[in-house]
Amino acid sequence: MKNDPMLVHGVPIEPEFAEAFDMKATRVIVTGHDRQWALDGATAMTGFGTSVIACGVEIAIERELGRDETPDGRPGFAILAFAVSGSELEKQIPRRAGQCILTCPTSALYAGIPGNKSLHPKRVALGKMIRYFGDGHQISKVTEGRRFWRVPVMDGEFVCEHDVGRVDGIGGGNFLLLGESIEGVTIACRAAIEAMKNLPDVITPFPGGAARSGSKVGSKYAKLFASTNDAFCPTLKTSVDTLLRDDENVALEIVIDGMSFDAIAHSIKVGITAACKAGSGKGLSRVTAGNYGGKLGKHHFHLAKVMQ
Amino acid sequence: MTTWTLRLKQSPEFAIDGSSIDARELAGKSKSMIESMKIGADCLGDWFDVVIGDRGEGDRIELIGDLSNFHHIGANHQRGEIHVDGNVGDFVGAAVGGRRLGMTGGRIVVVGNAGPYAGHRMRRGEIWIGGDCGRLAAAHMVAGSIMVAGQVGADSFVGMQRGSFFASRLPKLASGRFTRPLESFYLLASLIRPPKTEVFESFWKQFRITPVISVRGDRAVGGQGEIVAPAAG
Repeated sequence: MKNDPMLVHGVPIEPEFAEAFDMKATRVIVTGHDRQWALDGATAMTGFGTSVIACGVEIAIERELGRDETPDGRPGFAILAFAVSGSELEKQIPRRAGQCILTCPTSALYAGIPGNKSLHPKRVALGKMIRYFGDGHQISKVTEGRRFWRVPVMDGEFVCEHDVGRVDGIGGGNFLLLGESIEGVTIACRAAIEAMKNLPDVITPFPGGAARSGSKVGSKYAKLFASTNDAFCPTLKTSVDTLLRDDENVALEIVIDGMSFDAIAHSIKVGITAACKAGSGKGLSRVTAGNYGGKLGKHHFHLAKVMQ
Repeated sequence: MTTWTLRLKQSPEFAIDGSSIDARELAGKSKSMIESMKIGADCLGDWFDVVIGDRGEGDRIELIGDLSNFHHIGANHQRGEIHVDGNVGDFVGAAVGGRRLGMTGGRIVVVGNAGPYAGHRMRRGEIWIGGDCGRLAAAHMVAGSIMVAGQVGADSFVGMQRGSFFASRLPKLASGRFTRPLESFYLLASLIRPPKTEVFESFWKQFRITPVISVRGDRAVGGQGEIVAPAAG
């Protein structure tokens, strides 16, 4: 009985661990004259931001903010971004801010990491770069130690904070939902994402919060660092060393980036609990986690410990 | 962080240069050392009762009394707050003598009135005046913000290069030197927190919620300073 897996709402939780990595992170806040404009800007900025493999950053809306939480009292959204290096983050954020927020009607962009240069000496440029779009008509304003730029645009002024602090984050926290059918696993997956969507300090950057293309390290092709995680591919069950049972035909991976170990651990617990509650008896057969043997990432989220 | 409270014992009948009342000058000094600091021809202790205290946020100098004859208050101000519970004299936050720039940061709050040349050549920071200000306010202003809840004196904004001046109503301006008034919303106002007193909070609310009118100038010097007032003012 010692090795029996933990059950959550009757769904077995495998004694596996998720392996995650150090990343560089930041948070920005997008506001708009109304919720829709703010959402439009945030959606644009977080587009094509699922994986650092080809997108440069993993970026997504962290949560919607109330008017009392935004710097200018308007509707807004907090966005978290993660990159493998500070320089990549410093390249991606100004680019996305310029093309996606500056262009969005009524929008404004603020730092979401409290603290000035003395607290966070590593900075990611926001208005520091975009201000030049003002062609000399831009106006700087410093209040309470924070510098804002006002750039004239066609609906008035684009207000943008000068820069934002860069901090350490963790990328690659995960859990996998396994089941017989896509319908059953989808129910569990969507329940997990719904439960996790307003948690602070974490994002799930893949489409709908989940990835079907989980990867393993290495490839038969020398130029590729990663390739399909064949052990979880149902069509390869009979031809490779599979980790799926005979009755399991779908595996979806929920990938979590977070500002701290505790934030990711909490989100895994919330997500798995919701997934098991919704998916129990509807096709969710097991929950497990993805790792590389513990050799690549120093952050290990043991599901048995996280779910306690 | 430190609070220095300087309570005026008696109002001088002559002008005194108050620019030495500066947080960097006061920092690290004992009460007796501060009282012996020179101010004009006298010592600080001749004019003020000095109390030193601690507080959580930035450095703060509290000046209590009618300082109408103390000029150049905050001339070298860089950070923290100078809070004047009363009136101040001429050149608040302004450059001293032949210096190019006045205050370069922080906030000066004057609950009462200010004399002429408020913010003359100021470079950065905020000056809040709850009452009236004298003539030539914001003259040759380089940058920063000045907020005046009361009346604005004549000939103000001459040579204004950049910076923002907020008034309860648009003052009379020199002909041809400023753009025509435009109406807009002023989003940045929601990012600036007024001093926590009724006069400033109600004054500032007009800029945060309702449309404003603004003009730019002084065009005589190629300036892009802005003068902003509530559209309904």
